[in-house]
Amino acid sequence: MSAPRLSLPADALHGETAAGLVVTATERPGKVAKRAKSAFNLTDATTPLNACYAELAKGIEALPLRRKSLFIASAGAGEGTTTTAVNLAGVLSRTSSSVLLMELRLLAPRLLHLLGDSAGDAASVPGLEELLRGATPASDCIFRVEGSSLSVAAVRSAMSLEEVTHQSGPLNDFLAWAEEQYEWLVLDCPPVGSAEWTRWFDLNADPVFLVARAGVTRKRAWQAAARRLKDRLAGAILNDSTPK
Amino acid sequence: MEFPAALAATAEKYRRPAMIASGVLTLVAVVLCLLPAGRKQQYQSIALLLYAGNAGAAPGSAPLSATTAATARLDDAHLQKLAEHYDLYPELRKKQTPADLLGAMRANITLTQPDGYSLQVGFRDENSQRSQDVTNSLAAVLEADVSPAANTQPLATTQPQVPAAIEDQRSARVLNKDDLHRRIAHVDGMLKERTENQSMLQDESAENTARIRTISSTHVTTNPAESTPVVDPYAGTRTSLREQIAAEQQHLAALLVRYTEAYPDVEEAREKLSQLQEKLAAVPPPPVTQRVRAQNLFQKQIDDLTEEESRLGEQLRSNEREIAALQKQRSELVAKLGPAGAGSAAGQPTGQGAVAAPAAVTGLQSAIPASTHPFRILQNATVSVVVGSIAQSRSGFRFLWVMLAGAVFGFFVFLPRLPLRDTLLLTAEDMRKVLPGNAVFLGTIKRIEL
Repeated sequence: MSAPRLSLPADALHGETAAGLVVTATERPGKVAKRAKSAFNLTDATTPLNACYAELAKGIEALPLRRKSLFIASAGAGEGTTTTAVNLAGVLSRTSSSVLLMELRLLAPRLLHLLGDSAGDAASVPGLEELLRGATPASDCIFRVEGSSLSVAAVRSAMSLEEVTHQSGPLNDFLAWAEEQYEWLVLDCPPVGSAEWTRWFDLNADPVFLVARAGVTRKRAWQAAARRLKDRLAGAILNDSTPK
Repeated sequence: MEFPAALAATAEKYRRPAMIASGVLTLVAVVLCLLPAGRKQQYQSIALLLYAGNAGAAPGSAPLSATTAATARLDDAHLQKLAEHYDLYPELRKKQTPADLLGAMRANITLTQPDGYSLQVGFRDENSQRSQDVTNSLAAVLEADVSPAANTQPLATTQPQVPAAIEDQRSARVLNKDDLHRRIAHVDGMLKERTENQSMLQDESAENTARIRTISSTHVTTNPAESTPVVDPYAGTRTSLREQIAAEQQHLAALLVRYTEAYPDVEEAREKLSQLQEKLAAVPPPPVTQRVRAQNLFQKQIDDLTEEESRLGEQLRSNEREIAALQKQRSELVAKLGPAGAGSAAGQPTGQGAVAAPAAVTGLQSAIPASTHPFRILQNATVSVVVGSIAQSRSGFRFLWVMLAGAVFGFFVFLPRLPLRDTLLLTAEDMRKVLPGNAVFLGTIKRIEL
């Protein structure tokens, strides 16, 4: 495995001073004012949020899972799927030898934006879409977060729906390869039931962890997503829960 | 089968208006369904009268229709008397003015003119017997002879009896007679048709009877060749087997008194009995003689012809009734013509020959002044049930059902998507409630203000 080691900028910390990976839920500037920010610091395990995700990771590790690929999805958009996936992958990377965070939002990629695309160095790494098109080998489209065992495979430019539906073969191959190479795979998936949630997900996404955001996710929509996933639904995570 | 995406999108787009429309339809349908139940059942009686035309109409004036004439006859005085006699609308009579009472009564009276010669008078009421009685009374009022002065009172303005117009009135009566002649000719034509039909039916019936007689006589004729009994070669075998079966059954019964079913002798006896029964079943049945077959055939023919005979008889009787009614109608028309007219009508060619007006009818005709409205009751009141709602018409009922079906369809399609009770997930408790059994709730990520 020859993934390039990249370091992400400190300006992505949004006020935090620690170096390394910090993820904030600020991808929708218009909603930031209304929604409280959630932040995770990879290097500081003492922050309250860090403790939350650590608990979450502990719960996942305790589950009798068939495979160690975690498909993080939600019922609708804006429910914190990517944030949860990134933070969960960060926590798991602290206790595991190798973790791959993989973006499966091929139609609307957000991971690089969320991680801080201004890093610049990550721009030299080809996106996952290049791999699916057969333009680059699997190992070349992965970069590692400095100072951790977390690797990332992100989509750089959006693909078309038609293109995505024909890429199930390479995606399966890549997934099989990644499962061999990494201890944990955390996959950031599109909302269940959306156009992005193609037939490939219905066939391959297992186990799925369904994320909901308090005050945003509707019960019926969440139940519909759970019904669609059937027994592939392994767990549920509630984001932005107001502490009492 | 997956719901087409385009259709699903359309359904989603029009979900709310469809839900509203469906709800409104359901509400209207339910209200319309409940309306008939809240109303009392009503009965409509209808009597049929013959209208003999505009005898006595002023020359140059427009001919009076039967309904206009009947409306004129059913004046306030007559209706008032009927209302009192039959105790109609007691509440209205106590509280309202006579005009209101008469208005209510007129609202329930129907006068329709199906053709130029007849008038249907009807009355609607909650009581079927009263409805029928009032209708018959109304018909009687129309038919009854009234004095010219009283009768012409409502029409006085339209029919002024001016001496100078007497000649014109006479001409009008001549025209009216011509009209009556035409009607008599029409009735004669119908009579001729019915009479021809009657004779045809009678011929057919006679022919049928003759055929039945012929077949019956053939049937009873003894044919020596056919009467010879047919030899059954298996008769002896059959009798012998039956005797053996009876003996074996007796033997088995005797054994069962002493032993159980499992005893070898009982089993043996049962086996033997079944063998004998199988043998008997294998013996060919006794032959059916040709005579029996012929008898069956004759009987069938006789039955068919008898059925045909009864049908023809029914047709004959129905035809006779029609002929009698037509003859009565013709007599009445001839009576209206008067003695001279009756003579000329009798001279016209008809199938039956001209029917002279009976003396009583002629007398009645002469007793009725030309200025009265000559109604004659053809049929007394018949009652039918009427429900005062949308359900009273078939199309209304169909509309109701279609609307109900639409409403039910709308609810079934769109109700599952109705977000009436779709609430937001807020707490871990909410999450646990919606979580399926196979999944676990991993925890919450707290909201942190930075």
